[in-house]
Amino acid sequence: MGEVIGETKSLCPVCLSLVEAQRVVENGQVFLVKECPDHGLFKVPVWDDARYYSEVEHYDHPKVVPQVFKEWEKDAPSKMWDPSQQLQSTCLTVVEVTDGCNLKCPYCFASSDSSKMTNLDMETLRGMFTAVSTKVKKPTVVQISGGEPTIRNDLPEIVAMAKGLKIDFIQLNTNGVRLAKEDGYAGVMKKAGVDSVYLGFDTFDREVWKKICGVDLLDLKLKAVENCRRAGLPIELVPKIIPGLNVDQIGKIIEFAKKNIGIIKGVHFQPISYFGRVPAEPKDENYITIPSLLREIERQTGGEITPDDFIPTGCADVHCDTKCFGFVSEGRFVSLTKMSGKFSPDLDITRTVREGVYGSWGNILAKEAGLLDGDQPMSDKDCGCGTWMGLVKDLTLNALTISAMHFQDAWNIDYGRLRNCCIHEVMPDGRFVPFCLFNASDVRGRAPFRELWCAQNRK
Amino acid sequence: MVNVVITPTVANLLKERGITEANVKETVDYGESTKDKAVLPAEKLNWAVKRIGAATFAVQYKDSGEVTTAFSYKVALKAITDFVSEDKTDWIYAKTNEQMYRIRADMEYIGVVRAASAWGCKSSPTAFIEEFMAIKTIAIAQMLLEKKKGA
Ligand code: SF4
Ligand code: SF4
Ligand SMILES: [Zn+2]
Repeated sequence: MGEVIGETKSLCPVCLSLVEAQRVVENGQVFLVKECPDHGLFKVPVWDDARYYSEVEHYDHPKVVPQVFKEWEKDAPSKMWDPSQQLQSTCLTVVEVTDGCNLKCPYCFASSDSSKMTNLDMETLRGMFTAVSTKVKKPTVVQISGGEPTIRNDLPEIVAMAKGLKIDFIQLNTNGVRLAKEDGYAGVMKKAGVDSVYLGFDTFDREVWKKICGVDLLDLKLKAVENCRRAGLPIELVPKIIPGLNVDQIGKIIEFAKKNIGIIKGVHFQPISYFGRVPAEPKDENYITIPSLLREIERQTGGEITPDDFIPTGCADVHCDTKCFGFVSEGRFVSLTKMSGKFSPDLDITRTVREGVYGSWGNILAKEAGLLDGDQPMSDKDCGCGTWMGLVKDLTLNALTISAMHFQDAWNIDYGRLRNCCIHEVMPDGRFVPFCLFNASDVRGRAPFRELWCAQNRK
Repeated sequence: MVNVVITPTVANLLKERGITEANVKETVDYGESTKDKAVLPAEKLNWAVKRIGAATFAVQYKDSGEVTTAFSYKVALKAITDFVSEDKTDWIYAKTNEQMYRIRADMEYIGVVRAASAWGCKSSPTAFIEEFMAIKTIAIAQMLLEKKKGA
């Protein structure tokens, strides 16, 4: 065995019990090694560059001790989780409005399909949004998710209710099918209060779509982008990256975002994690970790974007995510963030991230530059072309954020990372759970927190 | 001569903005010796501007010499292109005692020329760019341009 660089806890992927685990470096790669007394030894790759693993630790940011997990004191599923260990407050909340879906992807966190149909009722949802607006520091960001939220015909009312309950930013997590198929739907969503669409977008290869989602979705995805453009509804593309299927698409997706700059505000890569429904138990080669993702970005963009352009937000655990703020100018991506240098101007990165979650750091910079009058862009009369204001306006309108978060499944979960989690799922009873824990499922796809979500709803 | 006084608060501000005390003194001395400065008599306030090396420094200070603020920008004045005399300010140009008004000034930075709004008057070659403009819009524009040009 290699060099032990840290002690932590993890889960047994068979029985989901908390087990002791070690971070071990072997051949320059970091692995998580753990043993369950009943189910044996597990060794999973978590980070394929040990040097970079320690370098990013400089970006650790002071955390704000959360209050919300105290609500689990009496009945936490202690076999899996000790809520008193959580160290970070909420950045983004996820509210799942249904567990049903109009697709049945072979890879699905929520194991959704059309046979499931738990729709949370309006009163429950009201309680969940109220929990967010009362427990989370402003600006509050809610991602409305599922399942597929757009299968609910009352989604506009749900969104409007959230806005009415003072949620600042609403991100709609969707497969895009309804946005593509139903004329005017993007406009309805925008009008209801959706600030940004979080659109699954994995490949340009039709055969690969069939493998990832069971059907070729390419035309629908492109149509969804077009419809959002017409409605002026900003998009963040969310490619989940699966080794052997779509790693080669990374550069093409970034290029597509650059071509559609203005309406596409970000590309948020999700290296695959094995939650819920997956085709098979993951092996080492089924994982791609953040360092290799960044190297692929560099390779596939011909060096236009390099690993040095990315920094951990420091808001989540430094090994959970990475982010690059930039803009597109004359067809090229220009990065503002540099691992080797300081982010300038000296914006509070945590704040930028909170406000930038919905895809546009450009708005923040524009506001900072005095270009927004309240939330409205200043008129062209005040900052027309030919002025310095106009220059800032042009460049910030072309803002693009490239980011990634590597969710942790029952195989690779490191409780050191989980403790710093800032992405929190809201339960129907208004309590919060770290997102990765909410989704953690065993080898058979059983996810205790998802079951609790269903059970709370039946009550 | 005015004796420059820098309070601890202003000293912090200068540090944050990368401005030295020497920059401040040189700018104030320039304004005082040439009267190429703006004044706000009601508040006994002065505003001097001087290009030193690769940046323009602007200092506002009381008649007593106490500095109230200082800021700088790298964009350099090329030409004043427009005068909007109906948009007036209470600042007065010291050399000629004229009330100043809104002007448009072409400013250059790493090969890019863009207009900025400022205060000025016909008899003065100086553009008085306001602080918020300098430290917000222009600072961000400079940063974006530097990144764009790989500077
Ligand atoms: S991955 Fe998304 S689109 Fe696919 S079945 Fe699951 S919820 Fe539906
Ligand atoms: S959701 Fe998972 S990957 Fe993201 S911050 Fe939380 S623990 Fe880390
Ligand atoms: Zn076990």
